[in-house]
Amino acid sequence: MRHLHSYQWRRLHYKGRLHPMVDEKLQGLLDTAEELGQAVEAVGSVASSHEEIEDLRREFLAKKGKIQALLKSLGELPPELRPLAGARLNVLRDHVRDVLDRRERYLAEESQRETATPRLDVTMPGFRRFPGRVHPLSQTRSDLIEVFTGLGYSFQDYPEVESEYFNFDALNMPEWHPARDMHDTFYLKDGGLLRTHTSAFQVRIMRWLGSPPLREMTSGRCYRNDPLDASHSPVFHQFDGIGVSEEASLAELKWTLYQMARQLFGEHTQIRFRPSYFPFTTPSAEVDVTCAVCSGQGCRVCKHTGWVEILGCGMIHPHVLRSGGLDPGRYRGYAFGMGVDRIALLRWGIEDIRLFSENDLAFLDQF
Amino acid sequence: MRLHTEWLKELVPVEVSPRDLAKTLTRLGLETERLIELRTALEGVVMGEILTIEPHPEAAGMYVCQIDLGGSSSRQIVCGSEHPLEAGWRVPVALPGMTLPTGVVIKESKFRGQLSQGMVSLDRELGVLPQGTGLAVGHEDVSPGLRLIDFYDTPGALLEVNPLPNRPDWMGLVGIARELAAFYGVALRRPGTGEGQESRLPVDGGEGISVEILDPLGCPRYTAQVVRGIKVGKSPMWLSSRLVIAGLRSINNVVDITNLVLFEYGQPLHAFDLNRLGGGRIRVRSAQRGETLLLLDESQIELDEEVLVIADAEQPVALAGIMGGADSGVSSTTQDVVLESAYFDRVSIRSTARRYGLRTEASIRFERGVDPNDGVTEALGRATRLVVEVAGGAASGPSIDIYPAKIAPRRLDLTPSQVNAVLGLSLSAEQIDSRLLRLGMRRDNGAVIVPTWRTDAIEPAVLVEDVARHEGYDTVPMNPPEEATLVRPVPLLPKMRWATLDHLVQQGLWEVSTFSLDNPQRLRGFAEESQPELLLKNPANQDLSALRYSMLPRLLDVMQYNARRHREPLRFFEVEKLFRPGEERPEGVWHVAGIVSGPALDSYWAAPTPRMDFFWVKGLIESLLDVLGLGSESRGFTQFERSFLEPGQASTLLVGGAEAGWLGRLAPSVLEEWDLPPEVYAFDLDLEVLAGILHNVPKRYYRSVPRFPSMIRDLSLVVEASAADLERSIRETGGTLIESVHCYDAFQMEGDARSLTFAIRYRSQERTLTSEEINDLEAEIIARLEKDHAARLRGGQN
Repeated sequence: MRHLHSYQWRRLHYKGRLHPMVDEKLQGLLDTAEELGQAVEAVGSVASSHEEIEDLRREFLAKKGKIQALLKSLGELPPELRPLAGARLNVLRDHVRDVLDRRERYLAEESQRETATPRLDVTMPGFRRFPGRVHPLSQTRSDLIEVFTGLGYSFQDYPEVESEYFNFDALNMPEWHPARDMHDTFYLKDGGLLRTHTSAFQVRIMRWLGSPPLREMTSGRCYRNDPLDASHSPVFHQFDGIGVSEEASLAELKWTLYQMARQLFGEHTQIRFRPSYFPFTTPSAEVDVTCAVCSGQGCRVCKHTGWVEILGCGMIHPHVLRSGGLDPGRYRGYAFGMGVDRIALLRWGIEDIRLFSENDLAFLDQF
Repeated sequence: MRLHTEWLKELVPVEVSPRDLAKTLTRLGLETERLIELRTALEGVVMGEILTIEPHPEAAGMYVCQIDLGGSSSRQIVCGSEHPLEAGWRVPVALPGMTLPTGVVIKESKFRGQLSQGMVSLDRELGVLPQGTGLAVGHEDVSPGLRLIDFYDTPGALLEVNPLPNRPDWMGLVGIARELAAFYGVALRRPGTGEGQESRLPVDGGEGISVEILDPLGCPRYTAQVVRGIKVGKSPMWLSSRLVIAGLRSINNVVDITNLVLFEYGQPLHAFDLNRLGGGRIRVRSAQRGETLLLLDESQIELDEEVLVIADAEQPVALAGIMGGADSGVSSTTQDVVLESAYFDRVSIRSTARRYGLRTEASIRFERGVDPNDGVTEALGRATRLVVEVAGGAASGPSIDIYPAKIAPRRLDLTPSQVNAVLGLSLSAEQIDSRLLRLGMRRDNGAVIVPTWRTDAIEPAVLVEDVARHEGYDTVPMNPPEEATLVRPVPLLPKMRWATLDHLVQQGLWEVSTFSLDNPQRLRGFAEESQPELLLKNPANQDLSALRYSMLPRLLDVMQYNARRHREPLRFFEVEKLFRPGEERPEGVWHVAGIVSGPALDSYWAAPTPRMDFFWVKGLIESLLDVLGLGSESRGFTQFERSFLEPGQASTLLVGGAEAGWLGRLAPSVLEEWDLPPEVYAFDLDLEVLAGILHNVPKRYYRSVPRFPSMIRDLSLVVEASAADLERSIRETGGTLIESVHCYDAFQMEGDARSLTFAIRYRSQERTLTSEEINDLEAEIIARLEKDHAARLRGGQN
């Protein structure tokens, strides 16, 4: 009897008890209505054609249909119960109509769907627009620039065709200096040379900006007359930075490079400074980081030492500060320089630098 | 440089394992590139008993031995020992499959028809025995099959070290030992001491030699000692072993001694045959033009006034500090020698060595700087003793020492606060001084007196480094900077490059990295008229001999490489500098260049994929300009002709009236040369021209969104005029009421005529336009197009 509202039930109670007629006739009528409703729902909601639904309409809703027959039997009820029972039958009629209409609509939509929109094989490949990729050297360079921008460094380009002065002399490498042997320099026929390291920027920027504190970086191509092999290339890429102030110290340099190493190689990366020599820094150091490929456990990339060398650095030599027009009695500075190619090799465990200039899509696709 | 840990320990008496020793050296700045633990390296060497030994039937000086290694059967081994071997002796045998510490790989092989199943290995071959006593040959109490390594208490290790170029003192064993002694706080021993060699040198009453320095700038100090009555011959086993282990060749006992002392002290020595020196005298002088010298390596060089030589009374006998002459050297018949230990000017040695392309053990050390004081004399003393000991004879006459102007130790000012400020440490004055004093420095009235072997220490900063090295770089803390800096904005050009990179990658192009050096010959195929070139003076090879002014050859290489391997897609670009001398920007100009071929998109099953063509590339460039912020600048495309481009299918790009690049289809001749498919398009934009324009583009501000509706009308025309001309006329006529003009359909009609359909969007910023207004405007436009461009409305079209 779920189709009777509660207020209607209250009215079935007469002076605190059920009307004596309810038991028999009303109960019978209401039960029949309930059954009819369920029967229509069961059959109507699975009807598979318009014709079937029309049959059901005829059976229940037509003038000689089952609901109409029930309505006729209302007269057998006591008058005070008739409106109540009538309301129930109206609800039943609406419900049956609704069920059949809904099914009919569904069938109509379905037939339309079948003719207009086929089912898709959703496993077919999507229409992908494949982007290209940024070269691993560019990725490494931009990561370095991002890291050092975060540390307060400013970026700028510097010439690849350099003078002897900025590439060597200003960096405490006069003509007779043995360290020049390590730089197999390409000279141009019409004068000038191809920079052998981005460190050539140091004195340029000091002269240009003048007053410290300054933190500066650059990156770009360098050239050395090295034969092309697995670890050397006549054209290669470097990243260089300097920090100059009244307070600069080796401790500050260590902090800076530690920040870099953590961001570039992972936050558990450790760094190690080893004494080394560069004409333009004293004290000088080479910096190792725990191998990113094996986390310091020892592997092919780190030659089973757990450490890989990533860069050279040191406190800027007084001669270089003087070349840059700064008073070494007042200012100190540190400088660091690294091979972008080398960093890229170490980050991804690549064993041959030639892959970078070969540009095989099967290689470039991996970054 | 290769050395044995036990040699170091002879000079620095400490108990440290080879591995710790290597670590300490690295910590101090002498990087150990390789460490060969002899205990492991010699694992496979066993003692064998020589059962029989017969001369090799076909090779003089070689022997065929049957050797018992303790197993059931014996082995046959061919050997050629300088050391006489006898049946019954016990010798170490390296078995096939082993690699000896000296790098020799042992293989089973046939030597002139005789099978050899291993190698009889004495000290020299094995690279062992610091004491150089000759291996335990002939010990009868050793049973065959025992492992050699069991006979050593401390076999030690071989170290390959790489002395830094600023530390020539580390190019000798003593210099390295001195650094170690300072670190461990022990006293340094000199080579050969503690072995009863402090006894007096035998001195005969004979004459010395007369030495004269005529160029005291080139040669500030010259010392020499005559030894008479020697016997030149093979070096004893211990001496030749040491040289071989150190990586030098054994020649004869006297030359070997000079080489050994060079290795020990880092002080180059030379031995002359006294009787071949004309007039029995030595003159250190500049050469004269026209003089020549036959060097030890048999090359004949021409001399002049720039070159410092050692001469006898008549002629040059050696290139000072670099190489001896062939005619005055020690030979098997030499009886009396002159040992030379000198100090030459660094710059002069370097320029002479470079000039003649000579790089010798001596020249490397002299140009980096040896110790002019004790180093010179100690080496001469050591060599003299060794010659007498090994080759016999006696020192003759006084030890010569010409040193007109003594080179004084340098004085450097150094305060503890200086050290601590640079390092970020807080060391006491005592700590700092104790580090420096151990390194052989002295304090004198506040200044630090630096010994003359430290040629690198010319600035106090070097002393700071010494303190840091010996305290340990790992003791330096990590401190963040105290001062903030003003970060400058990234300049326009790099910003544009990065944006270009991002955009082109998003559009499906792959960034590549190719060499900026190229072959001028092939570059010329892509040159402008009268293209100036930047050529290298000293190129490595022809293919890398010019700075490129076009990226195309290298991009074509990349396309070829990938096409041959059937890689996809063939869409590449590079952002790099091009070098075009003579322009106002001579240094290099940033460009972006690309090369594409094939389908525009990766294949899609549901629709055909268009191929990349001229307009694909044009659209790519236009979208790039939009992204770079050049969207509102006037753009122009005009026909462009170059020999490497297909005529009629190439265009220049004009932005704001300036020529900013080109795009087009590559000519068949180029594609043939690179063996590429027929349709390849390329482009090249000058980013610096674009940056110059962008620099002047006014900053853009927000504009309110349109409030009144727009209306789109299509206009289909039959014309011969260019799309750009038509668009310009449409816009001029419609004025501000035209929001956009877009050509969206085109097809070729008869002759030169084409049908073009434009979608014109009309909008007013002040009101809603009425149909009548637009009809009038459209009629005006049509009239203008008919009049100016002989355009016809296409019939029957809406």
